[in-house]
This record gives sequence, C-alpha cells and structure tokens, in this order.
Amino acid sequence: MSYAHPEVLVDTEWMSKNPPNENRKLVEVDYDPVNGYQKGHINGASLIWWKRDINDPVTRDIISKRQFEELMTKNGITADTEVILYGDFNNWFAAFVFWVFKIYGHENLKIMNGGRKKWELENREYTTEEPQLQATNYIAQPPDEGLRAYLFDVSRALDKEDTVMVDVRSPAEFTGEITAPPEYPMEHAQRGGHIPGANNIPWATAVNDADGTFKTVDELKQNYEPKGVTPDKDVICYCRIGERSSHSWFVLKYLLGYSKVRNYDGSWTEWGNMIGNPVEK
Amino acid sequence: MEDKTKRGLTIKETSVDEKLKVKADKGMIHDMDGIGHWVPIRWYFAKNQFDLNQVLEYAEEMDKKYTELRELTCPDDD
Repeated sequence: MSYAHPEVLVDTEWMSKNPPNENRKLVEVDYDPVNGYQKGHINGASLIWWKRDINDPVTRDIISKRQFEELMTKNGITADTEVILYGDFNNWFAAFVFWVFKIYGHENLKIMNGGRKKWELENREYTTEEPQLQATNYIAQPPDEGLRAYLFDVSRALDKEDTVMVDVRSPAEFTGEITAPPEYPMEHAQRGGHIPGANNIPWATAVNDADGTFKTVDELKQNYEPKGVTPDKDVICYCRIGERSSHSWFVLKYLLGYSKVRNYDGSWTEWGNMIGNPVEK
Repeated sequence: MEDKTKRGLTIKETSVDEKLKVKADKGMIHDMDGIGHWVPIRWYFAKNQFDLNQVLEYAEEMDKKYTELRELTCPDDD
C-alpha cells in the first residue's frame, strides 16, 4: 500500500538526478545553519533558517503572509514553483516549513525523505557555494487557519471525545521527568508533564532508525490507530516548540491521509508555562 | 575536573580543549537562535603534567565565571 499522497516525497537518489532549475527550487531548512548549511549543502539549495526566516523577529509567531511572500521572493520561488525541502535534525524544521508553506497555500511542495541524515549516510556530495537566485514576485494565499491549533482550541478540546491529542515528545518529557534536554536550555517550561488525555506517540516512532526515512503505511497505521488516533478524529499534534509535531502532522495528513490534523505550535513551551493550565503527569 | 552545570549533556566527542590544552569530553548547547556551540563538560588533567593546585586554579576560575553570571541576572543585595 502506498502513502495517501506519495507526491509529497522524493528520495535522495531522485534528488541527485533531478537538480534544481528555474521551475524547481531546493531549500535546506536548518535549525542550526552554522553546523549545517554553512558547512555544506546540496548543490543549488538555498537556505531557510528556521529561527530567522520563518518566525516573526519580535512576537512569538510564524511569519505573516507579507513576510512569507518576501521570503519566497528572496528565494526565487513563485506560486507555481516545485519546492523541495530537506534539512537538519531529521527534517523536523523542514516539516515545520512545509506546514507554513501549506498555511500560505503553496501547492507544489515536497520533502526529501531522510533529509541531511540520509544524504550524508550515502556519502553524497555537498558544496559551500550558494546559488544565485532571481527575485520573484510571490503572491501567497490567505492563511489556512484550519492547519493550526491555538491554545484556545486545545483548551476547548480537553473534554471532547472526537478530538485526540498526540504528544510527540520523548517519554521523559511526557511524564514530566524533564522539560527539555540540557542541549536546549532556552526551551524549558515552568511545569513538566503533558496535556490531560494526550497520547504519547514520539515523532521517532514514525521513522526508520537507520536513515530517518518514513516507515511504511502499514507500520504507520499500526503506530497510531491502536492508540485511538484514527482518521475519523480531529487530531492535534504538539511537542515543545512545534517542530517535531509538524513532522508527525506531515505523517498523519500526507502519508496516512487524515483529513483533520492540526499542529499546535505553541506546544509545551506555551502550555507548560501558562498559569492555571491543567497538567497531567 | 567537571563542569556540573553541564550535567546530563550528551557527550558528542572527546578532543583537546583549546583553552586549557587538555583532553575534554564535549557536548553541544544550542543558543536562542538554534546555533550549536561546543562546550567542555569534563577535563582530563594528566597527573604527570599538572599538580592539584593548578587544577584548583582552573576550577576556581570556572566558579568565578558562574558567580559573575549569576550576579548579572540575580544580584545579591547583601
């Protein structure tokens, strides 16, 4: 059985044979471009730096429609361009950017399965040369808020049987043993634990350990359905800052074809810091 | 010598710490912008090259650095 939307994935082999051109742009999305893109990237790839490019510089929020249009224009992307995303950290941030592209209505969009991890495992080439991109005039769609869950939506869903919450963090974060690993001192919360009623289905259970590629449809179904995360439900995914949950959002929406999946990008750094929010351990 | 503020940090490599010129276990901490920085967690001073007093000097210097950082954000009124 194939994925519900196989057209959203390309593999590393395909990528190596189909380099970017005028109508196809390759974008590396990094959390840490200093240790990623700047050290080497796939030939022809431009960079989207998650923190700088996809987040509002002042308010905690994703970029606005106008900011998104400017980003696309700078990256030589038009509304019709085929865009392929890949990145560091198991494609977490590439998945977040995929989610933002979909919020602003970009149609022709794909992820390179396995990201930097697989490309490097296969000893494929990198370059440090940055592509010369021709500025465009990108017109985005109004934001599709149906893809995003806000604090209000999550609070409202607490007692609803038809909404299921998927906490994709590690079991140690889910139980409240830690709020963030020591590597990420800026991502702690005042309380540890999880949103009441949430299922813990870590993001990593959707990928193959060896190369970070997505598991098969049957394996993915087996991963979610026995825990009540079924296609007939309204699904909300969350993690700590919304990037791992966008990875699981991608899996549920595009690989399994669930119709109603939202990413709660406020995630634990919002929920676990708000006064009065219920917490389960 | 160990920096206990780095407890729990995963050791990603063991190599020479350029500052103290000794072998050290190192991990990576990501800053506000997501950029990873290598930080030493534990230093291995060879007994035939360093005496305890010298290591203590390094330890006190590290302690002083953290005291100053604490003062910056939570000044002690006393």
